[in-house]
Amino acid sequence: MRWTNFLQRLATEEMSGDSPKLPDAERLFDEFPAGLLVLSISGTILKVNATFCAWLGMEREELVGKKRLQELFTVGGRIFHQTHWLPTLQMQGSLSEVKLDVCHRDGHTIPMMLNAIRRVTDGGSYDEVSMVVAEERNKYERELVLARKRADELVAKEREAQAALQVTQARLRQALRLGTLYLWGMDAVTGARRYEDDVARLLGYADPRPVDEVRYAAAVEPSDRDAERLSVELALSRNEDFYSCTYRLNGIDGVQRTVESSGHGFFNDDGTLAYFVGVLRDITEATQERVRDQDRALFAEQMVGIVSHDLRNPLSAILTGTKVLAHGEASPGKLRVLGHVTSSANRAHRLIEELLDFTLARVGHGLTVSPVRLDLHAVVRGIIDELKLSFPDRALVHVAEGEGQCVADSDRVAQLLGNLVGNAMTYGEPDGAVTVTSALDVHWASLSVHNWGEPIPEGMQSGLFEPMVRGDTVEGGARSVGLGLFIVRAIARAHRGDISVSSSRAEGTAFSFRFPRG
Amino acid sequence: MSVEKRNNVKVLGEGPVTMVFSHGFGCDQNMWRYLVPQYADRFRTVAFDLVGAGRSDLTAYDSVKYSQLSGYASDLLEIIDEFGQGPVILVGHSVSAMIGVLAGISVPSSIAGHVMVGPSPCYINDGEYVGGFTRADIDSLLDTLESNYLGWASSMAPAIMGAPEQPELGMELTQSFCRTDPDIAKQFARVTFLSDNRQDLPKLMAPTLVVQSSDDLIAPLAVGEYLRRTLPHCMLRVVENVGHCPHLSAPCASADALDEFLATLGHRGNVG
Repeated sequence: MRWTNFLQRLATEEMSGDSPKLPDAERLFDEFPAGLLVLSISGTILKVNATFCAWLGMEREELVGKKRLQELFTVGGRIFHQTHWLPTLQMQGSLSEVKLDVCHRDGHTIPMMLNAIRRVTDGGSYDEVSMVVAEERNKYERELVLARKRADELVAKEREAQAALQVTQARLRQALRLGTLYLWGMDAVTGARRYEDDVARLLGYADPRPVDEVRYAAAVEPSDRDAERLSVELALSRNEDFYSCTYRLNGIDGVQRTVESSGHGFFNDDGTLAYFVGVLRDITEATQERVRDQDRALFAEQMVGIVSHDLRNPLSAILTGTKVLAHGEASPGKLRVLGHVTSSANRAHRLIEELLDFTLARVGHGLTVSPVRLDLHAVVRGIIDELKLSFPDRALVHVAEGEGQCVADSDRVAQLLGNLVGNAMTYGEPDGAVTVTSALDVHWASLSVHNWGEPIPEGMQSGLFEPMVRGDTVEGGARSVGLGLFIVRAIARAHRGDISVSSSRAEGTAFSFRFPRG
Repeated sequence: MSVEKRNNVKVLGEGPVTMVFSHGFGCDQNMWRYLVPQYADRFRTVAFDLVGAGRSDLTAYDSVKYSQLSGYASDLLEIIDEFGQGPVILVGHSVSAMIGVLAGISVPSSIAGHVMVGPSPCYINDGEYVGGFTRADIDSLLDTLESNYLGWASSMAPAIMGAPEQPELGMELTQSFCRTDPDIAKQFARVTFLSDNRQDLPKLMAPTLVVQSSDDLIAPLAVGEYLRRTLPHCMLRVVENVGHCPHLSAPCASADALDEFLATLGHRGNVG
């Protein structure tokens, strides 16, 4: 039944569609789908339509003649009304698209868009205002403001990042300049190499200038080219790590420079090259320096070798001569003189040996050792027995701790102990014992030589193992030129170990040599 | 950059005394278009736009400099220095009255007399002091400016309603009148409505006229009274007017007060 009524009404509307009954002006004003107001120029509401009253939850009687429009705004809106709305209306007669919050009777606010126009008549002026609710636009605007804020923040961050990048780049440039380093790179797609302008200096130009790939490649010493190419290819094909290669560049100034080229490829997830960053370092001077150092060292070794070899022969002759002379009928006076000659010649012999060791340790390839597996305690016992002969009136004690074997050069161990025991006898208390301890634990072997007496001043302990340094001013006839402890340390290091000293009046003085068992 | 271009300075008329007109928060120097012609026949009149407003050079807007009223005061002193001839009477609307106070204290010889239209040394109530607003009210204004983002870019143009009956301004001027970059408007509102210059008032030794509207939300009567008590040499005139712009909506009454003040300074007023 209802359905039929509805269809009938639709049919009626269709037929009368062309000529509907239109509302009169007053009704149109009242029910118009917008808030419509007429205001005095001070803002007092003179006329308002039902739509606006309904939106605000207010009666017409509460508004007309009793309220100014601005009193319906929030405080912010009222200030805006005074600072912008009124002057604009006064000056340009109208304003449009102003959005303000209007207060509902219950306190909540409704964002509205307002247009206003000032009518000037003979009888005076009044303003007409239309208002529409703008909730959606309000939301949209808020979003827009937020989005802009976010965008501003991003821009600020981007600027910060740019500034940080500039600092980093400046630092990099500084570092490159100080380290005389030059940059190059490789195009990920074409594989073409790019060199920064400073690289021109490596090619012998006085000033930076563009360097193209072909020119650079031509400057590489021909015999180095294949090796260079190969290492780059290797670095790229393995998708990993570092490429580093040294080659020579022939400069246009006739100078050949040695360049260490290193680089790092960065790869995409699919294994293709993303970019390649390389650094060139001019190592010409360093290389030359190294060669010069090697020459010097070799020369020193040779000199010492020749001299000591040449000195050994006459010394041997002297020693043989004294033996021969001692066998004959010699007076006690002559024998004493012969004894002096023999001990002097022996000392000269030791000096030559030390000098040879020193030279090797200091400027050459280091002291040579021939380590073998041995019984440390037995070896040390043997050495001590021999040393006792040299110091017949002194107490020399051997203490052995732990057991087993270790790897060491027995001749060098003898040399080291001879040196340390000699020192202990010279500088230690004459009445006190000198104790040699050989010890073995799970990983380490150690030897220490201990004596009582005047301690080594603390300030001197750290430099004790440098050449030409002596512990104090005690005059010892048996001392050489202060190479002893330097050689002791060289021996310790040649065994991959080290030597240390501790010295005090209460604990005495102990030199300890510790090295890995094997 | 020239001061003239920066502040869109306009000079009209000639005379032994210079009147400098400085507009307040909201619009631009066109606010003075009823008042300036009344004085340009015997005064040198200088009107300008505060940087950020009207047709000032927006590229000169420096958010650090203009984060305090003293930034505007230093501009005002430059304008007086370059365009002032003879004694200078400053006519400042709203916040510009306080900008004038700062300029006058910093260089006392620069301004011979201050005319303050709808001034307020502090908008926020503080103990005994009645400024008319709470901090929450001012935050509401800032929020209004913030949320009217699109409106700031497009509002106020009279175009869509067709030509109004009596447009006071040509189309060219309505493009800039009362329109500013929203960010500048926000900062200027903050600087204006959060300012507190009460401590400065006793230091202003030049004679002062306060033109107060009888019904002004932004500068209530209590504020005018406070100024009269606090400024060392102050004349207060209340003009029958609703709103914050008596120079626009009550130009004759405003000019009368101005003439009276000028006469006390020995300058010929409007009449005669």
